[in-house]
Amino acid sequence: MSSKTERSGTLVPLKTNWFHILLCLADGDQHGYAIMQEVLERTEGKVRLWPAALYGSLRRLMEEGLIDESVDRPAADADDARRRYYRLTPTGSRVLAAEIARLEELVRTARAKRRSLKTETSS
Amino acid sequence: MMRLDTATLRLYRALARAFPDEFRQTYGTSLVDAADDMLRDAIQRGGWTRLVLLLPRLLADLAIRVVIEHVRDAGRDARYAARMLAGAAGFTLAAVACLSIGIGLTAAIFSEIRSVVFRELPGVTDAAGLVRLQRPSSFTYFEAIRDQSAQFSSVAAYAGPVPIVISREGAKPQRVWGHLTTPNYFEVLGTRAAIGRVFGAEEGAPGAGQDAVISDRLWKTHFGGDPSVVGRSVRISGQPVTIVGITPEGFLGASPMTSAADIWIPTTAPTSVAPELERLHDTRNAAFDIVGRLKPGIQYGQADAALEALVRRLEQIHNDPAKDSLERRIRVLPGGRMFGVRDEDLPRALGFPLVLVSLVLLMACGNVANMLLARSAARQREIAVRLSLGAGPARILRQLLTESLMLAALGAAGGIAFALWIVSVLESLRPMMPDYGYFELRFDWQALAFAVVVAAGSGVFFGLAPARRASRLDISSGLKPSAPSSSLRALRWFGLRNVLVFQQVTASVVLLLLTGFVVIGWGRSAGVDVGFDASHLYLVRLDPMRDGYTPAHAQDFFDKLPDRLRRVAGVTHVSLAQTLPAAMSGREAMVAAKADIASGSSSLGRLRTDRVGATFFDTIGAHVRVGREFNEHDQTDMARTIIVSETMARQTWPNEDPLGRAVTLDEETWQVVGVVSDIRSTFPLAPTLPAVYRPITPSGFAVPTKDGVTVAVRVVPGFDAPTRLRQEIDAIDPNMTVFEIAPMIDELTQGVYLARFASVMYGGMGVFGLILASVGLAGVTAHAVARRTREIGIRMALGARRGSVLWLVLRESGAIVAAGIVAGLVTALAVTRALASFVDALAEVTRTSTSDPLVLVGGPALLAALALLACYLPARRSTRIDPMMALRAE
Repeated sequence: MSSKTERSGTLVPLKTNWFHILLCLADGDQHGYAIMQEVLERTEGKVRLWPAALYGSLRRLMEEGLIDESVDRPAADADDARRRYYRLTPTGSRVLAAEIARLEELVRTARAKRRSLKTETSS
Repeated sequence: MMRLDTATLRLYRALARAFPDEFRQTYGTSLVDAADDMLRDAIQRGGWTRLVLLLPRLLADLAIRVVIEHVRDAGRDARYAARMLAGAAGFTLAAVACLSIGIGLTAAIFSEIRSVVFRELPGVTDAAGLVRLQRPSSFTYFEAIRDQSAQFSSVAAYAGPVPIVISREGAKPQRVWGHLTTPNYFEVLGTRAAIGRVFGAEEGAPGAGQDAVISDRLWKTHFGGDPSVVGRSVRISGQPVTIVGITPEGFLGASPMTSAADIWIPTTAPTSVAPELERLHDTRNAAFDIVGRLKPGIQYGQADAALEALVRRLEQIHNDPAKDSLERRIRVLPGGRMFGVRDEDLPRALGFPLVLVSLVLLMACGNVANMLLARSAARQREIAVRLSLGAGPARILRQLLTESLMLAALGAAGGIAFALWIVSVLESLRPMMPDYGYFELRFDWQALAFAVVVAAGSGVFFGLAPARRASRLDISSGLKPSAPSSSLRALRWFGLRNVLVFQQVTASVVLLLLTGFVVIGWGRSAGVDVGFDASHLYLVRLDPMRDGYTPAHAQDFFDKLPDRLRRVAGVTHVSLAQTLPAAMSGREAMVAAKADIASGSSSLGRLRTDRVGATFFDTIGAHVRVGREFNEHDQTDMARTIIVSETMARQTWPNEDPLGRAVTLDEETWQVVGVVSDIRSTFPLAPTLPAVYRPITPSGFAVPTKDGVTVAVRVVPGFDAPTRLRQEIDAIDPNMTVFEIAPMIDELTQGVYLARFASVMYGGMGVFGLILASVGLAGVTAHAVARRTREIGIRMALGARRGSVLWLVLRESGAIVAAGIVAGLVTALAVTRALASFVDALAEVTRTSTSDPLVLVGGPALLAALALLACYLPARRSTRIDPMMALRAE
């Protein structure tokens, strides 16, 4: 267990692509193309995961044990037979949580700095 | 027309095939589907414009990822390979050692051949167009060739090495080697001056040229690289001479290997500058090398024939004693290379080293192949496991390729280090070479590349053997603990591995015998008794004429010198020689003391005659067999007394008394007063020639050889000859330059330089061949035995005795080794005979050694012992194991 914690330590901060993929999977299992679309929409077109980059990242995430291929298929009407679905592993969830915490901390610090900047300029 | 999106998708699908197997199989379809979806979306949302905008980035994304995935896979393969190689340290070490030896030796020998044979003369223009004549000729013949032959578009002559003593104000006189050249020498070579000018029309007029050109090397070492040297006057042989130019860097004349020159004097210079020019028009003085350029379209063969006819005509005209000889006089050789060998003669010159190098390389490759094959068999299980776990054959192939390449890279690195080491060892032998010879061993990267490609290529080829097997492998049988080796015994006999062992033994025997024949052959002739006592004997070389002495002054000096030196405590014998017997120095005197000799009416041919002083033979420790040796009374210009060697006496007057015989020599009659023991050459290939000695003459001091006048001094042990003799000569005449005081032993070593060089080279190849052979044999046989552990266990469990099991193992390996040794013996003898038939030197060297029992029996016996030891050790270990353990492995 301790080795896993260490491991998640070395993976944070996450690469942008990885973070977006994990974020998509936080809501439930998804296939590759859905991840691409979600990221595009969520970032309002600012981040686009191109197919080869996406599958390269998925492979690395699988190797790192952050995600794996889902055996559960979605409901028959929504299932696309040719798709492969991916889901977060417990490690993946932990790493994502760690990354979110790190970002929150970062934002908090940044906000505090902005406040002091404002007071300085107003005074 | 195909729609743009369909065409794009096709292209995308095709490009996606470039992904590594594993990635393609897992994600290929999803990837293409995603791209398909993306394209469709794009058309729906933004039409064709959007699609066109998307296209380049879609393809770029794919291209970048393909590269990334391949690099990642390669990195993973490399880490795995490194782990595998580190895990089999013994195998890795042995394979890398074999590759290094093979690559290193090949690269070093090729480097040597290329820098000695193929390198173009530095500092000349259009080297390929230059030709030289194989033999030197007299200046008169050169003039006739220049004026009468229609073969050359330009032709020059030069004599060298000639000693030149340069003195100038405030500096010690320097003795260097030079060439006496026709004024057009530089023009023919196409050598322009780096500073100043080379010889030209100025030197053309007879008696005009008190000019000299010096080399860049001399300019830097002796003149401190000062450009104002040009135009300045120095003294040569006491005469003022103007330095008119400096040659380009690297240029050391037309034949740097045999006569590197640092200074050039025109043949039009007065004889006071170069005493050798006294004999410029003597047709017996064949001291001039001829170099030129053939007219366009003239072949070597045509030039040979035309010049041969011309020279024969000249011999008739000048009544040359050689006129009736049937020997060929002329052979045109390439003049632009360090070593003039015609292309058609290259196999003759290079055959032997190339055969040896090929054998070493063959053995190295064979070893590595063997080891890899042995290992591949052992790895069948590992591969079967990986195949069953879903690794594709391509993946396994890549993995094995990575391992092989890694081995090859390590081998190449080791090979480079080894080759550099060999080159440095060969370089370290250079001081044994005469100082007027120049050669530079250059490390040749092309040769290295060749060796790496051959050795590494074979490593890769055999490294992939497991993959070839794997493609045929039935996974279930491969997974069984030990796949039984081929049950068909007869087939196993001719299996690839046995063939390789056989080849290995054969090549080892051939290499060992070939090098053995040469090294022992040379060693034997080099170790011969030279016929005199070289210990505590010193040769002091003086050259008063070139120090600017008059003949009378020089003569006076040498009259007094022996007595003065004899009075020094510690000196026991002193004698003079105007030309030292060739066998004593290994150097040819330039003013060749050759004479036509006849006894009565029968000609004895043209022989070298040396001029030695009173008590010379007593001084050097040779023995007077009959009669007496020279005394002071013989040292006059009138004396007609000679001493002959034992061989001369035996050949000329068999079973008769030679004393008092009359001998005609240069058309004068001389009387034999003594017979001395033979002085044999230390040069391994030189037969003992008949020798004739004449007494030194006062006038002889005026025409010194390039070695000057030699004073032989025998001293008591512990006497510091170099210092004491120099002091003594200084005391007699402080203006005299002693340019050399050398122990006789060193002189002898210099004479056998080539032999030493060759012995080190070939001996080294033999030793490394032996290392290769033992590594290879040990590796292969050990593995073969180890594979039979299970069989041995069963036999032991069934009650077989250890002795009979050992015998079983040794029998098979022994049979292959014996067959290899027999084949090797036959091949070695055949190869030696074949090579000897067209390489005279090799024939001479190996004449007796091919029947030498030490080599013939010792070499193969050594290898057989090694091979049997390599079989015995693992076999003994196998018999020691608990039968149950071997069986449990089932």
